[in-house]
Amino acid sequence: MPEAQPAFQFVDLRQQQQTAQLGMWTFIATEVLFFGGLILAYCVYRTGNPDGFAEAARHTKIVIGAINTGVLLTSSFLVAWAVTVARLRQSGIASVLLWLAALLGLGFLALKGIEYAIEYHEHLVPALNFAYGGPNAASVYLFFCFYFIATGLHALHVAIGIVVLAVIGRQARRGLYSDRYHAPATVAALYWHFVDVVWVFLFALIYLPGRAS
Amino acid sequence: MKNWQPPRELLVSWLALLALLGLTVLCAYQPLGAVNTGLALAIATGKSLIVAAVFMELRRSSALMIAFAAAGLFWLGIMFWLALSDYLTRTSPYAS
Repeated sequence: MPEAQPAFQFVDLRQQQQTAQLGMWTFIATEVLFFGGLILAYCVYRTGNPDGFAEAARHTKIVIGAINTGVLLTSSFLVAWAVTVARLRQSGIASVLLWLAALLGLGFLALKGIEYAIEYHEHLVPALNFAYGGPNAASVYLFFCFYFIATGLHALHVAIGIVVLAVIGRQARRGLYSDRYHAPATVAALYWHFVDVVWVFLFALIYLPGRAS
Repeated sequence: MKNWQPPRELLVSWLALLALLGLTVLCAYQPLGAVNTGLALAIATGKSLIVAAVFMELRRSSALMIAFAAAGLFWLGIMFWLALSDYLTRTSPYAS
């Protein structure tokens, strides 16, 4: 591979790399506010309906949720590892690690799909087939509205991330990255880690409430 | 260290994250009342800090990078502060 050159507006590759990273962090800041707004709405409704939200949360599938958290944390680890080996010009290993991480992302989506199917069969999907009795039915409905919107938007982010990781993996295989030039890999990794962090909070808010009562 | 092996800090962080995941599930089943929610969010914050500091390399980043990373949280904090200082101080959350 020919040595990578900076784009014309940059003094050197280091400056280009830092600019790319700042850009991704700026994008992540908008994403923090995007998911943060959803979580704020959740907090408001949960403080208003504590019993209903605890009851609803007990209907979520904590085993699938916990496995999926482990899957995303592991794929994040693989991506971080891939970036370090890509910088050492271990192209083959870097690409395998990135593709493995993308595969774990696919596994996450598959488990999420199974979860949605179970919830559909339990008549917990608002606007589609929601049927739930008892005094807290309205709060349970609200909870599942939040659940499907938040996890659906998160799943969309995972799906985009899988494509990005697959492309970066292919670039790595072609030996495009080195210690001097690895901005695309670093920036893609930042995005994937962010998607992981969002899930960590969704897991705590969706699956864990109401388990002890 | 062979140059394909994961750096020790990544490996340790990954194991710590999985341990925290186990801990948070375990804690969720203990009847601690209101402490449960606080504990779950504290552990989630801890996990996020590990991901941000080690995986996202903020530990070794410049102050400018950290400022950019914190900007979203800063504005999110303002949004939570203003919204919750309204909702949490109402006698009924839905009172107009």
